[in-house]
Amino acid sequence: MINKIKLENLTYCYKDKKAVDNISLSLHSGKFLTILGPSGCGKTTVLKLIGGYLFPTKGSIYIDDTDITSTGPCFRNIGMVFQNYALFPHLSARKNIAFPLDMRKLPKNECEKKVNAISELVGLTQKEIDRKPSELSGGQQQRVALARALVFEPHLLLLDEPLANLDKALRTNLRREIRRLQREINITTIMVTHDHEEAISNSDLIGVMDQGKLLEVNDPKIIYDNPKSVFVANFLGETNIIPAHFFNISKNGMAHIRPEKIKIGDQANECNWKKNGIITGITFMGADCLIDLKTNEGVQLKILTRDPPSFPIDSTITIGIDIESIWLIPENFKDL
Amino acid sequence: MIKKLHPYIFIIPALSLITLTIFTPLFLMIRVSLLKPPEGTGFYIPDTLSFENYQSIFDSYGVSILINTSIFALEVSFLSMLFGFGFAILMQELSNFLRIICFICLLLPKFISPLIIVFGLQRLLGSHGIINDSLIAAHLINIPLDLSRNHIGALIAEMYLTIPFVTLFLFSELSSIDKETLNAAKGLGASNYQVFRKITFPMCIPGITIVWQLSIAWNLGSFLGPLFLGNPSNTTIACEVYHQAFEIGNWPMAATWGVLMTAIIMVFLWLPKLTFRFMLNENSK
Repeated sequence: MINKIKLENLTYCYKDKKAVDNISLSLHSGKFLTILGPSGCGKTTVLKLIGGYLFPTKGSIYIDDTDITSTGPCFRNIGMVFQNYALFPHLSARKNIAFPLDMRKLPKNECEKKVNAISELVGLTQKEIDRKPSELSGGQQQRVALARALVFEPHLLLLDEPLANLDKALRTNLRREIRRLQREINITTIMVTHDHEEAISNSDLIGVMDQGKLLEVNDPKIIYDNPKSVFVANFLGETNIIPAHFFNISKNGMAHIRPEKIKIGDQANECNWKKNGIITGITFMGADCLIDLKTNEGVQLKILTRDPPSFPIDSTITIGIDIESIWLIPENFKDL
Repeated sequence: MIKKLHPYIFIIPALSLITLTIFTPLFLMIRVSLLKPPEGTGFYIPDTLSFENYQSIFDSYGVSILINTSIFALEVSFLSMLFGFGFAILMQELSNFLRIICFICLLLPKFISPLIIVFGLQRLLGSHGIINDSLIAAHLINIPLDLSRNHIGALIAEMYLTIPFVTLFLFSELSSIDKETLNAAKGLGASNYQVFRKITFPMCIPGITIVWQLSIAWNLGSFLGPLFLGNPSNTTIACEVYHQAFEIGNWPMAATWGVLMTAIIMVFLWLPKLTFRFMLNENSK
C-alpha cells in the first residue's frame, strides 16, 4: 500500500510545443482524482507520463518517496486502462487478465484463483472470460481491461477516458461500478475524461487542465460552485458568467452563478435580489428544463428549473437570486 | 430461378479467366506428362498413355532433385523470413526519413529484371568478383572465397529475390498492430523480449503463415539462382524442366516434373499452417 503519489514540475515537450506544462500535484492513497479538460489539453499525456509510456522533458514523479521518473513502465507496478482498452486480440479474456500475473511468474493455481476473484469483482462470468475480446461487447471488454489492470494489485490505477466508447446508459452504470470497485479495493486512482458529469460524480478531487496547464485541483463541490477561473466554471457545466457590477456586489470582475441557483415564480419572491426579464427560449431536457432569459438590461441568463415553466416564450417573468450564491471569480481580481 | 442465378452470372468472367489460364494449361500439362517420350525426332509420341515418366523419376537422380528442391525452398524461405522479419522490425523503429530510404532500397531492385540482378550477383560473388577482389586487395584473405557456383551462391541469389517481398509484407503486418497494445503489455510488466514473444509475434502469425506459404511456393520454383549461381549437383525441379524441355526436347518428362512441382507446392502450403496451428491453440487457451 502506498501513501502518496507526487508530480513535481512535470513538463513534456512534443516538437517544441509544451504538451504538459509544469504540473505539480500530490495525491494521497485511496483517493480518486479526475483530470478534466478539453481534447488536446495534454491530460492523456499526463497519464502516460505517470504510467511510464512517455518520459518527461523536465520534472519528476514520486511514489511515496521513490523517484520513478526514469523507471520503465514494466517496473512501475501501475495498472492502466486505455481508451480503446488495448486488449490482446489473440488471447482469451482469461489469458488477458492473467497476463500481468504470468509476467510476474506466479504459480498457476494462485494465478487462476486471482483471475477468478477479480473477474467476479468486475462482474464477468466464467463463460465470458473464456471468450476472445472480439466476441465480447464494449462493456464486457471494458470490464476485462479493468480486471487486467487490477489483478496484479498495482500501486495506482490509471483510467484513460474509460467510458468514452460506450453508450450513455452503460456509461452511467459502469461509472458507478468503477467508483464502487475503487472504494472496495481502496486503490489510488487517476482518471482522465472530458465529461464533467463523470468527473463530478466519481471523484474525490477534480483537476482541470487546459493547454498543458493544470488550472485548479479541488474538491468537486468547491470546484463546481466556487471555481477559480472562467474556464473552469464553463468546463464544469452550464453556467452564467456575468459582469459583477450587474449584481452590485463589485465594480469589476466576473460573477458566476449556476443556472439551477436562479429561481423563478413564487420562489423568486423569497430571494434578496430580483429582476424582470423576457423568456427567449425554453429547452425541455427530460428531468429538467433550461430557460434562456434576457433581462431588461440586456443580460442573457440561463436558468435551470425542475418543472417546465407555465409561461410561454416572450412573456416577462421575475427571477430571483440569493446574493450569497453568487461567486466572484477570483481570476479577475488580478485586473483590479 | 433467374434471380437465384444472378450472383453466379457475375462470377462467370472471373471463373472463365481462371479456367482458361490455370486449369486448362494444368490439364494439358497432366495430359502431356502421360505421353511417351520421343524417340529420335519430335517432342513426344502422340496418342500414347503411360506412367513411364512418373516411374522413371523415382530413380536415384530424380529423387535427389526432389529432395534438393524441397530443402532448398525450405532453407531460402526460412532464412528470408528470418531476415525479412528482422528488417521489418528494424524499419518500425526507424525515423520516417530512414524508413523511406529502406523502402527505396527494397523496392528499387524489384524494378529491374531478376535476370539482370542474378548476373549482377554473379559479377559480385564470383572468384574474381568485386567482393573477393576487394578482400584480397585488403589482404584479409589469400584464396578467393567460394561464393558462387555452389549452394551458398544459389541461396544468396534466391534470398535476394525473396527478402523484399517478405519484408514489405511483414512490415505492413507489424504496422497494423496497435502500438497501445504493446504499451499495455509493457505496463503490465512485460519486458521488451516478452512483449515480442507474447504479443507481437503471436499477433503476426496469420501474416507470417501467408508470407511463409508464398515464399515456399516461389522457392519451390526457384530457377535463376540455382542455374546461374548454383552448381549442377544441387539442381532444382525448375532447372530440370528447362533442361528436359529446351535442351533435350523431352516434353512428356518436362511436363511430369511440372506436375510433380505443382503437387509438391500444394503439400508444402500446409506446412506453415500446421506449424502455427499448434502455437495458436497453445496460446489462446
